Amino acid sequence: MEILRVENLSKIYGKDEVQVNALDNVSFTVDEGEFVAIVGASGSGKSTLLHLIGGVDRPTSGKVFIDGKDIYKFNDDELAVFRRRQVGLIYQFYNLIPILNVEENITLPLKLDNRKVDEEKLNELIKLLGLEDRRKHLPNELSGGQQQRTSIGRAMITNPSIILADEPTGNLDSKSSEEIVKLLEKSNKDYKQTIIMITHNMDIAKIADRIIRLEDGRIV
Amino acid sequence: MFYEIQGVSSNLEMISSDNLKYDNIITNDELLRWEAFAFSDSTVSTLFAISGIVIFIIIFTSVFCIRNSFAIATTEKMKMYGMLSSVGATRKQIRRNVIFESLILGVIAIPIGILSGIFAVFVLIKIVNSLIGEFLLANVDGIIMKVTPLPIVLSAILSIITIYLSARSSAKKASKVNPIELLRNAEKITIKPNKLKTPKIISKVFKTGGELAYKNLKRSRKRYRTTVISIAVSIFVFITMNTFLTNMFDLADDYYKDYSYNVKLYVNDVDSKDIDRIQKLNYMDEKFALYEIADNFEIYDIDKVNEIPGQIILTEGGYYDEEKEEFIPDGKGKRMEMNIVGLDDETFNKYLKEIGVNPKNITNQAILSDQYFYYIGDTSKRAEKRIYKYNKNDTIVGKINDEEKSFKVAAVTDIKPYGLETTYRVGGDLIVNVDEYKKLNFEPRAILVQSSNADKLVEELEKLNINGLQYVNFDEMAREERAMSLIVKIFLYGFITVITLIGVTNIFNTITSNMELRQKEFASLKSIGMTKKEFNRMINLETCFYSVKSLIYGIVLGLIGTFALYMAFSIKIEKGIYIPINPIIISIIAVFILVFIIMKYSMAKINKQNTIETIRNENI
Repeated sequence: MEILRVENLSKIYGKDEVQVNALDNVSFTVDEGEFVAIVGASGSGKSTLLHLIGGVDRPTSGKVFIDGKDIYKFNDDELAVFRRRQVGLIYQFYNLIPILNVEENITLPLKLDNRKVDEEKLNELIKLLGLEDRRKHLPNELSGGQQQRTSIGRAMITNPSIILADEPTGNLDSKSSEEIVKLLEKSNKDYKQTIIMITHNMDIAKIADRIIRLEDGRIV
Repeated sequence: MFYEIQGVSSNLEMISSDNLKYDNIITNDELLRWEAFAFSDSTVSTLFAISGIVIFIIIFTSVFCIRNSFAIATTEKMKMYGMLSSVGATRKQIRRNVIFESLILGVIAIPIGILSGIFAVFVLIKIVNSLIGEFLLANVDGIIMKVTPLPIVLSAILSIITIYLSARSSAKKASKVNPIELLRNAEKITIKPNKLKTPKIISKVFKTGGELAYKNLKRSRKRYRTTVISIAVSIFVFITMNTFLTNMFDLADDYYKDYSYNVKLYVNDVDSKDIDRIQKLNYMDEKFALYEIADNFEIYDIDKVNEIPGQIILTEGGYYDEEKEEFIPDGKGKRMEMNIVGLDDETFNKYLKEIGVNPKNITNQAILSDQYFYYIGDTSKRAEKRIYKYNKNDTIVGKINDEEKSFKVAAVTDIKPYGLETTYRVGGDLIVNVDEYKKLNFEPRAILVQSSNADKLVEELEKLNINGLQYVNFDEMAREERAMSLIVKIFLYGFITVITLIGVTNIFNTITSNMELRQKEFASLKSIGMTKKEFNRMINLETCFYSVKSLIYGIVLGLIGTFALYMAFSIKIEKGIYIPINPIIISIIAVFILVFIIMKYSMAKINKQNTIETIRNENI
């Protein structure tokens, strides 16, 4: 079943001479439960694509449907609410909230939505992430890998339709990278979680069901 | 000639024991009142103490403000230093860069500060002089501006030291952190997780946004504390000074309003011919005459006198032997002399009305005005007590010049007749109608005039050039007092303004720099789905928590300050205890308006930034 459809997506930065076509008429679909890797050189438009899919940015033209909904028809606030329910974002630099501990960071999207935290599910997730003995720690007391696992937990807690990961291993050593990749793979296989991941690393990309290669804003 | 005497009442008693007569001593009642309320030693020293505290606070908070700005400026430029460091700038070079920058800053800022300070004083004095010019006495030309080098040099030195120390610590910070961390602009959160516990009520009432806001307050305790302290101190100073000013000056204002005359003429040394001339002057619109007898009324029954601990109530006649250096009593024993005050028919009836006695019933009777104010020990605390045990319908028997006299007491009161409102004499006053007691040899003591133009009246009095005449123009005194209160108010409120400005700068710095540091965090909050509305709410709550906390501290301190002032002055006069409700309301409103403006400003700053741009910038 199709969960994501990208239609003729374009994003142009700047004007006239400094105009950059970051994304040029990109179209593709992703099915539910699919693990897609987006690869490409720096500046090929992969981060732009991910941000457009996640609804943190708006395109110059084109449409994105998540779960059948045209996300750019939402206004900013509706989009934010949609995002916290349907999209999980994972960044290279984790972007955890420094004043919240691991547990609070993970449950933040639920709390923003005024939803009750399902303790059982939280425990299961924390166990899956291997953060049982780090629950009350602040991000600055964690290693890079632990921080990234926390941010994966934050992305997964809401059972989103789709998880978007922007170079999740870009800032980690190889051992931690391996752990993160395994975790993503596990969530994909065990929980049928749809994942779109950006990476430089072809070895990591290989675990995905499908690889989309971007070059100068186009799929090749 | 005026002598400044401490504890005037007890001195008067000493004089009386040397067998002098009260009538020859004019106590300047108005001056005494001033001394009691406004410029007694303790008031002046309190004023100095408050100024000292305020100056200290100003210095302390400005030093903090400068330091804060430096820390913020360095944080904002951390990235640049990281860049410099990554291309090979040594720590020493970076440190030198920061120090040099602050040197330039100091060279520009200190002269500007001094010049604008002098300019501010100039403008202030112009304003003060134009406001009070008309009130001032003829021989004073207003306040004169005088630039003294000492405060200028001191503030320059202080600024230099502060700038140097702040720059040094900033330089250290800038040169210490490693380039990668600098480039990533990672904020150091050093707080322990258990310190971030949020009260259940906060998360219940204010939801997740409120919880985040509450936790944000604690992320950088030092800065948070500075902000709260600086606002709280402004509120405290505002409330306390308000109490001070209200009690010092408004009391005086009320006092004049109560008078039913505006010129008081002391005529005890004036010839009766001259008194007639005075009576005929223009502007003598409504007159009240006050008489006293030349001799004293010595009462027989001294058991009727209440002894007051620490006060000499009963006196002894005699003389001071200078050779033996001791007081030689005349052997007649202790005695008590009452003052007999006469009022003319009209004035007496008015007085009776005031104390609530029907004039018809009391022909040939006297009113005992019996209330004695004194200072307790050497303190400035005042106490009041009755002197006599006489009651209504008692008869006071005594002698005047060896001739026995008796007076029936029609009423005992603590209300003084016109002209003696602030005179508290050890003998108490027996007030009679002059027309009924013509034989008593009354002499005019004072004439009280309600004049339609007191200034003109005084002018005409001066022209008559009458020997021995002294007078007080209350209209003029009220003006002078108002001028005085205006000057003091301007300076005290000036202090408050400066402190508040520094406080505002501090909050401004704190909030905007926090925003700067937290850009990335805000971006990630937005990216995980915080709506604009929720986000604004979070920032609003954060600022509200600041204000509420500062307000609570400030108001509590202010109330303590107010109470302390009451203790210091033992003010309990007419008004009763004064709760500074107005200043409290004003400070609450002011803080919220202020915080609202800062909030709007920082919100505009944050909302301008694009979520995606920020995240991109951070992901180098």
